[in-house]
Amino acid sequence: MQKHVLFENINDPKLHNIDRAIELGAYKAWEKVLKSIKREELVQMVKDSGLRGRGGAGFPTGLKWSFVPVASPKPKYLCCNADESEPGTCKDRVLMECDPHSVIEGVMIAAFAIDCHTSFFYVRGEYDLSMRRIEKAIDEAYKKGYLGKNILGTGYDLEMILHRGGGAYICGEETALLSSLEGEKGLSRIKPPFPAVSGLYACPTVVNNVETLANLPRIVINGGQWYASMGTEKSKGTRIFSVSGHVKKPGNYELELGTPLRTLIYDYAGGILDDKKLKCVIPGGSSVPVLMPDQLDTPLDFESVQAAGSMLGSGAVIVMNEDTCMVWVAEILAHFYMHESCGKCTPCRQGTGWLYEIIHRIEHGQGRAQDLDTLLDLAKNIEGNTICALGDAAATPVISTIKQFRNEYEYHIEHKKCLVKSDFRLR
Amino acid sequence: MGDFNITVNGKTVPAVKGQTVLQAALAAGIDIPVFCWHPQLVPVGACRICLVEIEKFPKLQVACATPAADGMVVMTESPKVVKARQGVLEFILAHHPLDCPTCDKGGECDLQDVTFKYGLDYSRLQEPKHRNIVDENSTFDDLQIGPEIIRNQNRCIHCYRCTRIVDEACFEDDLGAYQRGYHTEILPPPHREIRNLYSGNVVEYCPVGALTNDDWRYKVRVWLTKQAKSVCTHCPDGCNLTHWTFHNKIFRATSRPNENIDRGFICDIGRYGYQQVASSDRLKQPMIKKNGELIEATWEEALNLIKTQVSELKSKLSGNAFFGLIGETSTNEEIYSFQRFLRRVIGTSHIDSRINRKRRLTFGEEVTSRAIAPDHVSYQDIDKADTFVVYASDLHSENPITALRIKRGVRYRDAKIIIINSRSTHLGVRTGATNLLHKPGTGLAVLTGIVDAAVSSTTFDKSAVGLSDQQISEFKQAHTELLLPKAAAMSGVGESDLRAVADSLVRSSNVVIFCGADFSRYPYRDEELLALDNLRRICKSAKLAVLPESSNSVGAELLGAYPNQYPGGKGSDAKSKFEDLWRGPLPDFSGKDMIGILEAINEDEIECGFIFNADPVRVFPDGNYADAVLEKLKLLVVVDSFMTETARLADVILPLSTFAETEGTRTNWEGRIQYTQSAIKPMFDSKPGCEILELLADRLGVSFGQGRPSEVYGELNKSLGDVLPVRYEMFKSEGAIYDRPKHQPKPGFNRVAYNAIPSDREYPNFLTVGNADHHRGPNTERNPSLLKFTGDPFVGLSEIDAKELMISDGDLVKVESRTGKVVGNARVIAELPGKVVFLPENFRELRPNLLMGLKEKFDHVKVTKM
Ligand SMILES: Cc1cc2nc3c(=O)[nH]c(=O)nc-3n(C[C@H](O)[C@H](O)[C@H](O)COP(=O)(O)O)c2cc1C
Ligand code: SF4
Ligand code: SF4
Ligand code: FES
Repeated sequence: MQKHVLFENINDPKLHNIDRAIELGAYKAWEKVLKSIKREELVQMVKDSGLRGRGGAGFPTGLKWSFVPVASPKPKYLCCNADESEPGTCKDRVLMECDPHSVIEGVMIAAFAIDCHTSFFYVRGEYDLSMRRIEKAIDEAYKKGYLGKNILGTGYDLEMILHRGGGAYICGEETALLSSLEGEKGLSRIKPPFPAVSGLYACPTVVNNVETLANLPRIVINGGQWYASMGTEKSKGTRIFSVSGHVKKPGNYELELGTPLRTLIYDYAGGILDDKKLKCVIPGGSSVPVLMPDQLDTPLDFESVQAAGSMLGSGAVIVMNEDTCMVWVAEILAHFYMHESCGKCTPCRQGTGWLYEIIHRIEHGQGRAQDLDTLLDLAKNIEGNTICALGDAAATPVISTIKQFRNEYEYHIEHKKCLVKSDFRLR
Repeated sequence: MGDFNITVNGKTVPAVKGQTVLQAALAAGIDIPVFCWHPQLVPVGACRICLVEIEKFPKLQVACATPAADGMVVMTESPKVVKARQGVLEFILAHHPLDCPTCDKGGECDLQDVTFKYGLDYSRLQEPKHRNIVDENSTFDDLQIGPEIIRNQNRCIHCYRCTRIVDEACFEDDLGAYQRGYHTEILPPPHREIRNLYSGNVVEYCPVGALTNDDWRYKVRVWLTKQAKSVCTHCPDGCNLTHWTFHNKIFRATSRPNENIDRGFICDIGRYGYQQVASSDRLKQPMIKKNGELIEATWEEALNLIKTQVSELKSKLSGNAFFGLIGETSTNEEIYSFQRFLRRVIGTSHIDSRINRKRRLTFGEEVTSRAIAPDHVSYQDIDKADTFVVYASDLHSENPITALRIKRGVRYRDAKIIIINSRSTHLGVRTGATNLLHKPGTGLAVLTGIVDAAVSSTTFDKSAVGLSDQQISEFKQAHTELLLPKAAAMSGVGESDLRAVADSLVRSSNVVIFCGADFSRYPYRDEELLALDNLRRICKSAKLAVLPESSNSVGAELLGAYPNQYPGGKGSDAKSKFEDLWRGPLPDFSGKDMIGILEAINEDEIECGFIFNADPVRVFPDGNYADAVLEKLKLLVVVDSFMTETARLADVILPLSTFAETEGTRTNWEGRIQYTQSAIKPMFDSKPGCEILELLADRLGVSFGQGRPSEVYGELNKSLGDVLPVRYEMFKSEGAIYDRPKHQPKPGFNRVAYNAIPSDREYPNFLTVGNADHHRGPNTERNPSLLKFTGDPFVGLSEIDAKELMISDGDLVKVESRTGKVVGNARVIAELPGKVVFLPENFRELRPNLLMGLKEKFDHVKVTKM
């Protein structure tokens, strides 16, 4: 069911101005946190809410915070991950552009939860409007005294530093994001140590996604139980799904978790473009396996999507109709991951390029019979053997498309052309 | 035994807390391949070749970065591991050139070895290989990225050892990984080269042939070479080296990691410093001066000539008409044999090894300095210290590896560095050191000012450091001219800076104070030593290390190369003991030091001398004087490896084998005695030092039967067992620190006397000498690789002075003093303070000692544009 928690006031054209935002309830939660909630209570409240990370992995947010050694003499840092670059994903952007105050209020609340006094906001380089809106929101919040020293007379200090990325997908990966913030090249780092123990400048650090954080003010105002009343048993609350591809009404839809995929595509996104047949859906950003038309009744929650063989990931739902050549899709995705691989670890650096080159060859009529086995084996050699999940992300679409559409690959190899002619190719 | 056990492939393996799975496995002899891991670097887990299976972990883990935990069950050969490892290797090899026969790393390449052991013998790659093209018109993809280093990006496996070594181990910034993904390229920063003092290490530790150096590449195949264990002779740090030889020629030197000293990283001077062994000015044969010209002779002729002339002179004069000078890079055995030869065979005590100091070193002075005994400091102390004071030393160029240890402490233990010097040095770079840059000659004021700041502070806890009110007030009364604020005004260092340093020293729990070459040459050395000792008194715990100048200066002191000291630091009461040992009478215990010797020659009291592996004309701080005086000798015998300035004055030259052709031991600054193997047989007609000294003694009628270093050391060990209890054979495995006598410090503060330096209107600039980049001392000029880094000799001028004199880089300038002049090209050095002229002491063409006057305390010069 469509349920507007994050999108409650999203259509208000003035929402990004602090005065309007305050009229609509912004910073009430922050005030409440500062004046009447203890740190431990706040963490418990978020644990109770069942909120799980919206950045991709779905890790319980309250639990993540509780890994931070609060007693440590080192400073603690909170980083808002606004590097949203997973193909298909555009939910954080809407939040930052239309409701920036909720987002930075979320950052403040999370910072308080880990006793952090310096927070960072890492925005994707290409997100120009988001960047300007957040910059303005932070400025306004400082002016109104919601940030800075001795906030609202409570003695709590919090700085918020905005950082604009250089436009690298890898910098969304939390450890690469930290490297980038430190002024280094955005390269992932091995875990352990996990950022909660040793992150930014080797200090305890939490990285949370924009959407995750935007939920916090609502949870603080309405309580953890209220949030937990939405969604399914293990996947609480709502999520913003960014629907793209062959649908009549692409866009961001906030739904209660557990809403069936069919409802999202057919009821909200208006069904398949030109009423063609559905071929498949990527339900959680380009790095997750495809779901087939017979899986349309899968409820969109972490567990059910996983049971169906895919992942909810970043919540980007990419819909493809019957006219889509899957080899071509795989080629585009393989190119993306090759291009975005940071190159630190061997399997991803070498493997992503190799995958792309083979698929490119097949797509261009130079395939060989043994290529498919090689592709699968190479993908397996990448999967699970890399520093960060980008390697897995690159392997998955290859494995998944070969599994579901092997015939298209074989046709390509044999006939040196597509089995299905995509009628909308841009090149 | 370890703290707990883990299981690797079913075998129980002990592990220590903090160890990784890899370290525990390696210690137990279980092989796990690695590329990116290096024991001295922070693990990055990048290459993934060390993936292993660990029970309860859903994915394979990198052994190099996974901490071992009690009860862990690890598998290194399970099907999953084997598959992953082969996968990683296939990825690495996919675009690797695989032209091993033409690659210089072939035969010692980690990738070859790992592939041989763990890889597959086929490739599934159908695509064209990637190539990083440097020059479209060439099929070679080599790129020169530094004076010595060549990169071939095609061979690079992106382990990032090189960039991490530069950053994490050398604390430099001239190599990085540029671009992203498989385009990642190893390059210096834009418009720069990799040319830091430790740059050669990246070649040594590159696991493949991606980084090579001009020095070694394509000259010999590694499997044809032999290796010899050596110890670097270029500075007293004592890094351990391996010399790689083929057909009696050395082709390269690499590190021979010694946990106690270098930990596997050496400086370029040590790495390329072997080249001088084959230098064109090597002395190949004995030479005899006839009609003012040196002409080649046989050993027989030379020895006979020495015999006749020495006997003749000896019959006329006493042994007191003879002297001997020995260089401090000689081995312990050579030094011992040399002084024994002079004392016992020639019958003189005029022996010295300290030939580049102006200060007269008398026994009395040495004793004073002894009473405030430099401590027994070792590298281990550096690892424990939380604060370092580096006084009057360009540590980075004088003791490069000691400097690295200190920097490591700064990076990984948050230790602090305080540098006190009259010129800025490289040590502070990237370490955030506190720099107290003072006016030349005012170091005493800085030191005393700091002590005053400390004891005057209201928070100073005097009882914690055992000082009384009376001692403090005595200190103040004794130094009225050197207290704050006068100290600040005199030295030009801010008063608040002096207070801040005092504060930080008082708070530190473990201080190590180093003083280096500049210090040893300063005219106020003894006073400064007293002042440094005072500095030590305000710290809770502080050790003082006086860094010696050369690779075996400590050995020279230990083994009697001084005029008033027998081997083992023994005094006159040991005379009869040595007469027994050497079976014959010895001359009077005390003799003349370097300055006394020159004076005596000048006054015709001394007429004959032996100079062994030393070049006083080049380094004595009054070059013109040394030259003129030595010229007067009736007989000068020079034993050296090179045609030095001094050798030109000789009547007889005996060609000496170099460090590479001579086995023996040397003592580093810690007092650690280390053994060097001879890498090659003596070149040309040269002979090792001990053999020459035995030949001379024998010819002059006293044979010791000890022509070999092991025989000399045998005697040493027997007679000086109390100081040198270590047997020779032991050195072959690892060095040992000899036990230096300990001294009890006297209570309270020392009194420091100070006379202001008179300024000189006519010669307004202070002359400072030191090392040019990639040079150390007078010998490094003979190594072509090192010359590539520095280029031509230069006269260093400060920006202010250059501006005032309208001199710009490269201009020809004349530097004059009251005693001499030199001409060279100017180089403007931004970090140099005004009124200071810097001359590197590394170039024959531009010898700073020609400007030095024995009579002047400080050397004043003037510069004019030509
Ligand atoms: C290659 C890669 C890219 C990622 N990009 C993003 C991103 O753009 N935004 C994001 O929030 N998380 C991204 N993540 C996930 C983050 O690493 C991290 O898990 C997340 O920010 C944690 O926030 P959450 O707990 O609120 O979900 C990415 C992960 C990987 C492996
Ligand atoms: S998996 Fe790819 S992106 Fe991640 S660390 Fe390795 S090379 Fe970099
Ligand atoms: S050049 Fe050598 S050391 Fe540097 S990353 Fe490449 S393989 Fe590693
Ligand atoms: S050696 Fe462990 S990942 Fe490279």
